[in-house]
Amino acid sequence: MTPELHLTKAAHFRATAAHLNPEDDYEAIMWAGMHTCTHWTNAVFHAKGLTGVEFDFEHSWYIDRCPDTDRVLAGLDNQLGGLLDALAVFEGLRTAYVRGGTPLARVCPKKS
Amino acid sequence: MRPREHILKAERLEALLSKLKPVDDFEMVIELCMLAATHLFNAALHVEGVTHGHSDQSHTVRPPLEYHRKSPSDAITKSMGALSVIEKLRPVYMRGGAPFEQKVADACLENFSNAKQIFFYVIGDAASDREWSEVRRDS
Repeated sequence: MTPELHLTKAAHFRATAAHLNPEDDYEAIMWAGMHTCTHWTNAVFHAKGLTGVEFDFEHSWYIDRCPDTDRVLAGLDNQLGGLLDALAVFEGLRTAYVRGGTPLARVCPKKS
Repeated sequence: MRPREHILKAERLEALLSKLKPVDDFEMVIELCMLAATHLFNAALHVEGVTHGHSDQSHTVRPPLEYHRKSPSDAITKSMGALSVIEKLRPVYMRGGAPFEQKVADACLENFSNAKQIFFYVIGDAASDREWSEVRRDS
């Protein structure tokens, strides 16, 4: 998918999250945050030529499934690393609070 | 997670749907239907004894149900079909770039409703807050 379309999809998720309540609707906020970061990451990867538009990765732990993982890893800088770190935070939150049944801790909406 | 916990989470996720407009929040509607139905799917599998509280399915095919010793009932298999329809929307409309379509949103919500109805039929009285050990049917 092209970087532009990834940005459009990310914007949709952000717009949805923007009219939800971080505490009452935390599952959707976390889920939207995860997909926003994933679309952003794919957009940057494509724009920097690290992955082609025909390949989108889905989760940070699938980075080794990229067609040329060495190119992706070599192309990571501090900013991209930070983006992947943010994505990993959402992925961790999703396991506990969306897929799992952990009660909401006050720190979570802030983290999201 | 116990069946009751899955049900409570599914109820929260379904309640979120009422705060969204399919035309504006299309992607999240698909995701919430998938997530809520998957929680009910897991509750039903736990009740039938196909899976236990420490092994949840993240999707109908992940992990493959063939890995489990016991096969799900025909009812669960039928409702998996409805959940699978929702899952197949994700690569196209959520991860992919396809735009909103009202008929797709309607079909998504209808499949969620169908899956929910059958999963609750399987779950039966395990939806109550009684102890799981009292309601599990894993003969």
